[in-house]
Parts: sequence; structure tokens; C-alpha cells
Amino acid sequence: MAEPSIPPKPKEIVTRTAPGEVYDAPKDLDEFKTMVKKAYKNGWRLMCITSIDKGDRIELIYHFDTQKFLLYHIRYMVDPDVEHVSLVDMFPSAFVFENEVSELMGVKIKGIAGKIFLSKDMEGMHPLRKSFKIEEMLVKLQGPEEPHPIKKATKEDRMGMDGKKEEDLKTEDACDFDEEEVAAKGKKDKPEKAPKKKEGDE
Amino acid sequence: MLQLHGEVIKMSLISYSLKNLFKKPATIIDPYRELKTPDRYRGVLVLDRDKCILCGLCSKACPANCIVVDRVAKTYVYNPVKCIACRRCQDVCKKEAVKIVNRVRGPVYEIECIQF
Amino acid sequence: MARTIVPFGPQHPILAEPVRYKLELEEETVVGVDFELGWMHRGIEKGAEQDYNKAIFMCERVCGICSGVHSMTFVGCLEKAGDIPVPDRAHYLRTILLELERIHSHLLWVGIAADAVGFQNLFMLTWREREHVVDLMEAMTGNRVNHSYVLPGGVRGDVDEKMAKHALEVLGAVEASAKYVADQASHDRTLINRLKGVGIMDKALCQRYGVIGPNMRGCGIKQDCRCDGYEAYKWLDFEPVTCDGGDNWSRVLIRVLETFQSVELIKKCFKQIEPGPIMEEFKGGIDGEAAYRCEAPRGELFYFIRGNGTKSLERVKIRAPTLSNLMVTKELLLGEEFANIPVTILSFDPCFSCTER
Repeated sequence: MAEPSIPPKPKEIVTRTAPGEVYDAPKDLDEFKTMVKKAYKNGWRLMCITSIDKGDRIELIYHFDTQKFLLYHIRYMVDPDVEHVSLVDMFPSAFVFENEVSELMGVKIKGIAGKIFLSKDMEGMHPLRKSFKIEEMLVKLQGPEEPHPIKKATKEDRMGMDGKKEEDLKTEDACDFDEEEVAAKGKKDKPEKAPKKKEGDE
Repeated sequence: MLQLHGEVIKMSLISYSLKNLFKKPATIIDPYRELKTPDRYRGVLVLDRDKCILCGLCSKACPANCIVVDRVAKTYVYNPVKCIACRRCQDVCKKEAVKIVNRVRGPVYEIECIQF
Repeated sequence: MARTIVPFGPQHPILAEPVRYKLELEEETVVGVDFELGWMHRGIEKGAEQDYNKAIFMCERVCGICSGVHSMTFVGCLEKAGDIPVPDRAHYLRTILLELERIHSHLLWVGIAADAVGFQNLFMLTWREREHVVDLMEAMTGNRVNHSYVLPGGVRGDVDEKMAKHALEVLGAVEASAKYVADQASHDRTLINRLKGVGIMDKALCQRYGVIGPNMRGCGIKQDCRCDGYEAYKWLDFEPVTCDGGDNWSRVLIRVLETFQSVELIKKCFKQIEPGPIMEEFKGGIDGEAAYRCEAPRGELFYFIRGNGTKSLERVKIRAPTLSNLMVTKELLLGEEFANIPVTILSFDPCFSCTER
């Protein structure tokens, strides 16, 4: 139990893998380049590039498919102001992934312009960062949401299709009720509990 | 009624055209003819007002934010146009007051919330 | 020689979803290709960073045709990250839903491809058979698309004896009429002249650009995500189907063959399924990160999620199959005649709403 003045320790992230799946973490750029060259020589396929916002640094994960039913991942931390190396020479399909990472998260990659998904009036904004709030942008563009008119439920609105609802329905003004009455009714019904697992059929 | 392509092709062209000449059109125009939906079809929300205790669990579980429950004013307001009929409210309700029933929602001219 | 730039624009009668291609022509032959995306971007990855129970319904609505496999992959990721057990009968029911979805998606695509070539009658015939399959999905889950059927820990509704018998009857009839239509169409001279020998892709090009799905299997490469053994495929003796040739015609043929294979898989499922529970409820936080992949009708679908211990997710990453298949068109379309371009792009079965979530 932590005292209120000390902030709790951040939980460590557990990585769940299938048997044979490997997560590698190179320490510097040269080790990263060696790992990527090894993947290229073995003929592995680049599946995806994931980017995660971690405050002042951005974590990039490169996912490869070894074509023997195993996945191989490379985890690498990047500074958003420093230009990062591009993999387009070895893996041509990385062009689309790097454009997406550069535009939506704001990572600078050599030779990539970063114009693929967003429209021109959103230039300079990086939506996947934690500091970007969707609701504020919507309110700025469209204005606050107006409330809709409310009407009271008619008999048709309360009717279900199983046929037995017609007799159980009260009259139109069923909106005023006594809370104690309902609570007392609830206590009476308590012993007969409905079965916990329902098959989903109505 | 299943009309299977494999059955029909055994006739000749003339008898097939004559047979189709005297059939009703296959288009169903709702609401003049009722749309047939299977038992499990997810349509609209229906609330049994006697069983509901206004706890607000369905409102917190709704992904589309279409239910507004007010304990002080004792109102339960539902927006049928925003609802995606995912049945989470029915899964979460402990008193079995909220149900998603097999009724087709028709088109509307303006959005109106329903107060149960 | 003078060059003109012609747009294969965001709006085109063939395209189901908008994409923009700029083709540089030199008297009917293509010499330069450039494409632009961005018309369908809705920001679903950012919107799914909330309670995981609500994020399931968000991820389902990425695509309309393959919505079952999106929700299945997301739930598979959650189960892998949280170590959630699932009963056996639920695995079989999920496999039945995924295969039904593959049948309906391939029948839809054959119809659109026939309409693009000009054969409108084939479009109407295949879409009529597709209606029976979609009615089956509605009887099983409650909705034609956006099923909301797969939840972490199991599935949401059971299939009893009567429904199983009806499903097998309908699938038998759909298979018989699909075989008749396929036999008749494969002898059609117009289709063969239009599709054979156009847009040829060899194995080296496939492997260099990382092409996936039936496009890769149409070149002779034998790879499929279902060989991983997820869900009930490990109990079904699955072998992928391949075709030789690598042109538009083989890409049509392999989707037709996959449809018949899916019907066989569903029949095997119904034979092997045993009675039991279908759901073990899970109410807890997700603590961990995991990656998962499934075989969608268009290729390999890849999800990566990370949770921080509570019910809210920190990051959801979706990579749809068409995003990997797009880059190969930059090299494949060079040297083609202008009238063959729309059909070649359509033969990759692009789904841009999946691509741009």
C-alpha cells in the first residue's frame, strides 16, 4: 500500500509471446542496422512499423515475418527531433509505413515527406500524440453539440416483439414512481436469482 | 422461401419466362409489407419501468453514449438514432429491465429522444 | 512524344472506395504511376484508446465487408495479452463465422470484377447467391454486418441442431449453383481475352514488395496465416490452395477455389463440434502487450495492443492487408495499356476503408 504523498511505481509491461516469438532491443544505431541487415539477408518480410508515444521519446517497433510461422520484433527508442534512418532501399513496402509514422506521430525520417492521410489544414498537427485531444478540435471546428428534443414514450415504443409485453405494460404516465416501493419489491424478489450464464437467446 | 438457382435452370426458357410473368414482384416496400427478421435481430431498446432502479450501469457501459439516466429527476432518456444495438446494456443490467428487441427502426425526419 | 497525366480519380464507377491514381501516359501506354490516399481516414486508432469493452465495437466498424475478422483479431490480441481461457466450442463457432465471411466477401468481389469487365449478368447471379449466405449470418448473430458476436472469453449465441441442419442445406445449394456459374463463366471468350495475360506478377516481385493474401497464392507461393493454427484451424487439417500464372485470371480463379474450400471447412466444423459451454466471462484489466494476426479475405490482418493494467488501452495498432499490397502497383502498372488499368487495380481486391481506418 503506497502512502498518498509518494506516487505509485509505474507497472512493468509484460510481453506475451507465442513459442518462438522474439522481441529484440538494440542499444544503438549500429546494432539496429546489423539486425535489419540480418532480416534482409534471410528474406524475411516487413509486416508493420508501430510507434508509441512515451513523453519525450518515441518507441518504434518493427515487425517481421520469418515465414516459418514465427514473428520477430525489433524495439527501438527514437528522439522526435533527430532524423532517423529509412529502410526503403531494402524493403520497398516500408515507404507507406514510414509515411504514416512520420505524419501521425511526428518522427523525422530521411527522405520521407510524410503526406499520406491527413488533409492540408491539419499540417503540423500529430494526432496520435497524447497531447492532442479530439474533442477540443471538434468543438473548435463544429461548435458545441446541441441537445435534441425529448418526447415521452408511447405504447408502441415500449412494446417488444415477444408478445407478452402488452399485458405487463402500465399506462402512459409510468414515469412517476416511488423509490421505496421499488426497493421493497426488489428485496422481495431477491431469493429467486436469475441464472448467471445466459445463452443469448431472447 | 428459398428460391435456389439450381432448381430453376432445368426448365426451358419459354416456360421459365411464362412462369415469372404471373408472379408477384420480389421487392418488399416497408411499411406496406412487413420486413421479416430472424429471432436474434437486434433492433431498439425497451425498458421495463417497474424493474429499473436507475443505477446508471447501462449508461456507463454504452459505447455510443445514447442513454442518460438522472437519479435526482428520475428520468431515463434514450436516443434511438445514436444507438448501434450492440446489446451491452442488456448484458450489464442486473435487474433485466433493459432489453434489445426484434423491431426494425424506421426512418425519421428529425431526431427525438425517448423518455421512458 | 507528348505526355499526358490522366487521373484515375477519387470517383470512378469501378471503385467501391475512393483512391486517387495519377497515370502518366504516352499514347495509351503507362509510363509513370503515383497514388494518393486520405479520403477515408477516420482516426479509429486514437478512438480505440478507451475501455476495451467499448473499443471492440469501434474496431468492428473499420470495414463493412470484413468486420468479423477485425473484431476477431482484436479479441484474440486481448486474450493473448491477458491470458484469458476460451472453451473449445467457442473456437469452432468463431471459425464458422470467419469462413462464412470469407465466402460472402469472395462472392461480392467476383461480382464487382465481372461488372468492371462488362459482364453484368454474372454480377447479378453471384450477388443472388451471396444473399443466402448473409441471411445465414443474420440468423446466427443478429445482424448482416457488424456482428458484435465475438467477446473476450467466448461467443455470444449458440447454434442448435435445427440451425446447423438449415445452414448445411443452404450451403449445399449455394455451392451447387456457384459451381454451375463458375463452369459457364470459365468458357466465356470475352472474360478470358480480357483477363488472361494481363498484369503478370512473378514470384520475385511478390517477395520483394511483400505482397500477401490470395494475390500471393495466385503466383504459386504457398503461404497462409491459417497455417499458424489459431482458433479451430489446428484441428481441421488445413492446406492452402495455390494457382500458377500470376495474371488477373489466376487471381480470379484462386478466389473461386477458396470459396469452395471454405464450404468444405464449415462442413468439417459441424461434424467435429461437441456440446459444451460457449462463454467464460472475463472482467479485469489488461496488463501486457501482444501481437496477433488473422487471415482476412484480402490477406493478413495484423493487430498490436498494449495495456497498462487498467481497463483502458494505451495503444492499438491496426495494419490492414491492402496497405502492404499497394506499393507493388507502382511497378506492376508500368508498360500496361490504359484500358487494362482499372481491372488490374481491382484484381488486388483493395479495401481502402481498412487501409486508412
